[in-house]
Amino acid sequence: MGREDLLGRAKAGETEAFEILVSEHQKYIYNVILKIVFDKEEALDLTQETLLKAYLNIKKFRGNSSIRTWLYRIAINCAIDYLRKRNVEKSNFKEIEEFENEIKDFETPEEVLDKRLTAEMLMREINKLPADYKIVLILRDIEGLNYEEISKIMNLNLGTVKSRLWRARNLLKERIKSLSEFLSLEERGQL
Amino acid sequence: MMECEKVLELIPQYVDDELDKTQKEELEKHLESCESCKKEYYLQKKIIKSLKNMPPIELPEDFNKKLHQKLIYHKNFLEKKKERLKKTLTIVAIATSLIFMTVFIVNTFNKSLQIESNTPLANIEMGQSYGLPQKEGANNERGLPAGTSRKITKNATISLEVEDVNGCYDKVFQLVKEAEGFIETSEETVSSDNIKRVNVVLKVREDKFESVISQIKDFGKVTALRIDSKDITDQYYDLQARLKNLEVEEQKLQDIMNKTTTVKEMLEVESEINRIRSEIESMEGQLKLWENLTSLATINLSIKEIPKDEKPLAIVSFKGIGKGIKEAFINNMNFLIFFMKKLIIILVIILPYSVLALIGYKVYIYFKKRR
Repeated sequence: MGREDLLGRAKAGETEAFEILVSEHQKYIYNVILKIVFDKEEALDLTQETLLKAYLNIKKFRGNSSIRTWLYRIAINCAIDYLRKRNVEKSNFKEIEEFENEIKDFETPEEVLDKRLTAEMLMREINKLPADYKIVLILRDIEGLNYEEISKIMNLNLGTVKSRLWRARNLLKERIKSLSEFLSLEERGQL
Repeated sequence: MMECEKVLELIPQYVDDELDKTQKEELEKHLESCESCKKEYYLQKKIIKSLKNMPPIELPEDFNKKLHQKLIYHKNFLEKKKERLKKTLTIVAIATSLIFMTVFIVNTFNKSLQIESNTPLANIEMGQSYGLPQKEGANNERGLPAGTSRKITKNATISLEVEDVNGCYDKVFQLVKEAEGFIETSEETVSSDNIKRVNVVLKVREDKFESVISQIKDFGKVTALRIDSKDITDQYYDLQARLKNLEVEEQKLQDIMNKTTTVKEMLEVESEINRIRSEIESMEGQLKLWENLTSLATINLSIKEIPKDEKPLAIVSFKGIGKGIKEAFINNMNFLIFFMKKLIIILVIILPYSVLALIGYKVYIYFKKRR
């Protein structure tokens, strides 16, 4: 079945067609949202919300960009909205606790621990970046989207995307450098 | 030679290979000589590499199922909402068109009523005016002594327009004969514009009065109709009673006359008798006249000829239809605006109550939720 056909049927309100259409993207949307909001349950909810919004608004999708870009855009907006709300509520502690528990779960083999620790560490530090920088960094360096896509998703021009990305990278590097976990890793010669 | 600070700023771009040739060469030179900057570069590279290699986290297995349920739920919700909207819209549409139709019908009906009542000879009026005396006569009979009847004079004036005046005259003549009446006077004139006019005074029996009028009305177009009736019952019986008294008095005087002995006395009584006699005769004459007037009704009929070119052919033409439509439209619009004005006034009147009702409803919901 052709993609255009699927899109047409999804626009007509067929849920099955829509589900097939988004099936290849939903995992990545989830990952982006997860990295932005840093909370598994919330990320799942937000992914559902994103896809629901996409379903309800699919008639407005004109095909100016790819479905992926369009979905990312909705996802980013959902995540940003959520972050705004959460910042108002100021309940960041819960996530940090959860995160620490997660680390403990992966304590068994040393290699895995080191690898995981690095990934989780990065994630935690990314989460501490300002939202604008964080999102660009996630889209570019984790999800591997190109600048043009990012500029469409975030509705920014290319120059802004690039300068934000570089600034984000530097910020992240500085944060990692200042971490005690990093220092111990460095001492063990892993870098 | 680049400074370390500048180099650090450019490293992220260097990783992406986004620097121009000279910048790139300068940076590479710096990195070779500066150990700390080199370290920074490797760290940045390492970070980006580990970010890229971060394995994507899989969605939970029930994700698709949950999504499907959610989509179906919203789909149904949307469809229900659509249906409800459709229903509401339909009701609103029907209500609106009903209002418009009502306005239109009421307005049109009002218009036609006005037109009817504006015509000089509405059926209702005619029915009332010549139906009345008959009814009164029947009802008021009861208040009178036995053996007497109401004495009412009846008088009608009718103007007719007909095409064939002579034919109409013949028909009237026939009608009068059937009603046991007669033509009192008849007069025919022809005006300067060659229009023939006949004026007739008819006398018909009082009880045939109404039927004759209604038959005459059918002969042509009625342009004027007037019916008068006068109840002279009181005067009639009063006069009759006085007449009887006078007759008794006359009888008494006759007796006295027979007993007179002197010529002087005889002459005095004689003159008295003569006076009473003449009074009696004048009263009898009056009674006779009244008798005639009440037993025979008078109809003044005026028949006018309609010239041939004035025949009602013109009525059926489309002339003036545009104007008519325009007038009707403007009229309806005016009525609609008037109606809207009233509606707005009513809404404004209702407003305070609806606000109260809304507050009441909210309070009710609030307490219901708390419980």
